[in-house]
Amino acid sequence: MNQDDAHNPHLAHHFDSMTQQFESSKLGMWLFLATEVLMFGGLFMAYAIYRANNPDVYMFAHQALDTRLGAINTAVLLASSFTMAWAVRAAQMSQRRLIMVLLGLTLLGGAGFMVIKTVEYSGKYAHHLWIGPVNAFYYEAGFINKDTTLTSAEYYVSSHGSPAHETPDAAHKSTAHETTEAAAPSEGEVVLDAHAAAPAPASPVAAGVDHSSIQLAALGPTGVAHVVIAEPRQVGVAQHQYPKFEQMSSNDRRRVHLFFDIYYLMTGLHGLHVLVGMAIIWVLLHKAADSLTRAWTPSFALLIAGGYFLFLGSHLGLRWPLVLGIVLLLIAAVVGFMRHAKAAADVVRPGAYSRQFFDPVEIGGLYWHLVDLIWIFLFPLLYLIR
Amino acid sequence: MTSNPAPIITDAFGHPRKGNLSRNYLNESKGILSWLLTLDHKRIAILYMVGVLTSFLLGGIFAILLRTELIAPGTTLPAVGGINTTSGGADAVWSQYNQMFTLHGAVMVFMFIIPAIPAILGNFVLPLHLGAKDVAFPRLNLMSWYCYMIGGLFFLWTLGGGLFVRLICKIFGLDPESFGQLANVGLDTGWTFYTPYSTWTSSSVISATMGAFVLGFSSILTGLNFIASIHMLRRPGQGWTKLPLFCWGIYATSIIQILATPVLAITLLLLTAERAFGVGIFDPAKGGDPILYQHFFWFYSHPAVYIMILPGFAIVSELIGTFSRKHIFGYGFIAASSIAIAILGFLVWGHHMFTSGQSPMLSAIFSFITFSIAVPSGIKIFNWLATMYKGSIRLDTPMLYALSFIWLFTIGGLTGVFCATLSVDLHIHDTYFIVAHFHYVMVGSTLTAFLGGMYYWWPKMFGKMYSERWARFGCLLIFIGFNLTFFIQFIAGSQGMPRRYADYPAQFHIHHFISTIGSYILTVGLFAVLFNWIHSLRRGAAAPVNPWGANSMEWQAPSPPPTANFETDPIVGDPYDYSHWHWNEEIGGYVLEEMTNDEIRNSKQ
Repeated sequence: MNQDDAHNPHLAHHFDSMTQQFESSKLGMWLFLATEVLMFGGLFMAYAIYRANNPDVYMFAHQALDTRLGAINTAVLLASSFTMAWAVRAAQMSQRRLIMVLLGLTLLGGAGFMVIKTVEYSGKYAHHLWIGPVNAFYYEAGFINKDTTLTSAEYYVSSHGSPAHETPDAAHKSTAHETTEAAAPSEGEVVLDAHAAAPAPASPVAAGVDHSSIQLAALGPTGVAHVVIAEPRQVGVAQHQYPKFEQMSSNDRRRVHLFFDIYYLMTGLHGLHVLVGMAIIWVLLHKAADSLTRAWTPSFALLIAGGYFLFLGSHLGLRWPLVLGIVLLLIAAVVGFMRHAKAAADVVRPGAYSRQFFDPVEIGGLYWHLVDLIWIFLFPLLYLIR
Repeated sequence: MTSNPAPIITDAFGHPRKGNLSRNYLNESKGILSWLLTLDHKRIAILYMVGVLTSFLLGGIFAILLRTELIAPGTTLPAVGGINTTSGGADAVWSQYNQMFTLHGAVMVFMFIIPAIPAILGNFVLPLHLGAKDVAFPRLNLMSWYCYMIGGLFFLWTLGGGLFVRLICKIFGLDPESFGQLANVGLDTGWTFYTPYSTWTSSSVISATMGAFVLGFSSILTGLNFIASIHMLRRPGQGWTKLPLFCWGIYATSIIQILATPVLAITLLLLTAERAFGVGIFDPAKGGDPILYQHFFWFYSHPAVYIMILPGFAIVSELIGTFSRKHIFGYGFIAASSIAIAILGFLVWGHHMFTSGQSPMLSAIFSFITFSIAVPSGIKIFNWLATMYKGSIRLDTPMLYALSFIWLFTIGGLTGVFCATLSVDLHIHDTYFIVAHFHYVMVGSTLTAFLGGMYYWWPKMFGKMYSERWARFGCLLIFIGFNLTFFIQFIAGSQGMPRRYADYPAQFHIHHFISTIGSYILTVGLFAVLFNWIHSLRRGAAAPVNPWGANSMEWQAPSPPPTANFETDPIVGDPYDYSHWHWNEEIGGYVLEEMTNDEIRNSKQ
């Protein structure tokens, strides 16, 4: 046994040296990451097969996803991956204060991701684009005498034009827009008759207009829907046309809801991994903190949770998350001051990670990077590819 | 070996042991908590043994009930083969029988065969084979046992949770319907959970899939632990070619556990989502694809077959060498063939789906790759035979099981070639031929190897010898009972008896009758083994350090080992070089020559 290592309190009894222990745990984490990749591999395979079999379905349904929010989330997650990598570096350099700051930022990044995901999910829920039967496009063939038709989907399309990704607020605004501008369509606005199937809603798109800035307005009383183009932008690449619901094959029309199923399963499972990753990072933060700061790490977790619920309450206009959020914040304050008083009475002890022992930070970091990596694949597959 | 009346407790060199002789991992600390919170790989192995053998008993009871129902045409046991007319639904007919074979399969596969060898013997032996103090991640190891137990609880809920909910409803006057799927009882999908039936059956599918999901985690964590241990914890001087073949087999198994199990996990999650959220990915009524489910399922479950059989190969490779007193023949080929099987095992899942309507080209490719698996399997068999050739074979109980294994696996493996043949498979698909084939491989081979391994390492695990006579008697009964039960099923199957049927025409009476009688003999044999073990624990003579003269490192540790495994650093050598161990009548076991580490290492076999 290495004499230096023999005195290291972090060396487990069944290892001979710190190097052996570090290499083992790293190998273990890589193997675990392999299982994670294969687990998501099943979902990616399901995605690929359905996409290859029903390309129109994916073209049509993915309009519901908000590329802007997805892009912001990608940036948030990438940034948190950067702070995580930096935290590993800081641990290797024994920069104890910097480790705490960076791990805290990483944790906030994860929380930010979940907040944005909540905005996306709640927006879709409000538009009846939820998982399974709670989806306007849901279709299930019945047994002998029961055949559910696609009435709700047809109604949805006739009133929305397409599965748009507006938040409830945005939908409201565009309706207001319509009342003021319905009489005289101005520049940058296309009128289309929802009853006539022929003109595709994406006809201006073919001319090279970016989709992400199109908002489809609700159906007006005259049966005329207005496509409000906020700021028509010319883009260099040729754009594909989005298929129209009425023009899709009946098989395709019945499978639109499968896109949403796969979307929720993929992003949901990924979100679960983000939560697990946040828990891991919190534990790292707790251990990395010196005894005074460590008094506040539980409060930090409660603060994030409380903040999330406050946001949830205000976003959805619900009372219980607001109450829960305030309670959590109060608990955070009480717990923090109590733990602080206790810790302040004692000698300040440094955090656990330093040049001599930084294995957990590096291994936790590996997990966080995997979570990031999976999103890097999810984002283009679900949001960008047309 | 059991004839020795008062063995002297010695170390591997035959010197009397110093220190506290009665202290070992079994009595190191006392109390139930010292077991439930243990991080010692040996204790975790014992914990697993309790859980796995209980599951085996449960699965066995289901099997015996099934066979008893099938002893004659018509309904024999109303509780199993009765036609359920009370609930009236289409799926209610024969529902008890459907549930019985489903539970038999699910419990046996997920809770017995998959964990049996890796989790019990692998956990106990692997660190000893590496000369290590423990596996790489002891806490993960304990966690995997808890995963196993939690998975078991889910299965228990499948069995009776719905009844419990209904009872509560009755007491409080509630409507069971309002509890939705929580009030569902049993499982009648077959252990494969095929969609779309599993999507809409009124049995308790979610608890079973979640149970298998959690059990999968147990399997993954065990495999991960073993791979990391084999890579990182080998003793200095123990290169990859000085690993016992048991480690190679477990290594190959672990690769499959790590790479295949997550795919099952996601498949079961998707199925759970089908039932819980009404997702339709596998449901044709919603535009989904049930064949995709089959691809996903078999992408795991075919490699899982190798999770079951590779550890059997691993054990038998140890037994054949030791009891032939001859260096294992073709070490490199046996080791490499395990890895080859692990890799090829991922490429053959489609042979379960020859009749599913997949493209003929795909079927032909899967058929071809399946044939090619016979090559590494054959390499193993021939190497074992070559090891025995001109060896001085000793027919101790473990060796009897090893020989039984070779016999049964050869039948199981060769009939697998029938099943891999496209045209033949169309005829025998879903018949008793398939049932007989996979029982020959899973029960005949894996169970036999497991029992052989248990008898082989029993003295090391518990420090007690067993009654050799009763052990041989049990082995014989199991061999006869097993062949009687399943060989006749090949004939029934090839004549058209479909699997999973609760009733059959009179022409198959004789087949089923013989099969059922065989299953009773098999049961008696298994109970003979159980009583032999219990008797050994209570009355067995103390075991010497090395009763068999094997040279892998576990035989240098005391029997049973102390918590830290070795009292002195074990000597690393060629695990199949038996020339340095000599029989010592006084001790009743083998004793190692006094040699330095270097001498052992440089000696020729």
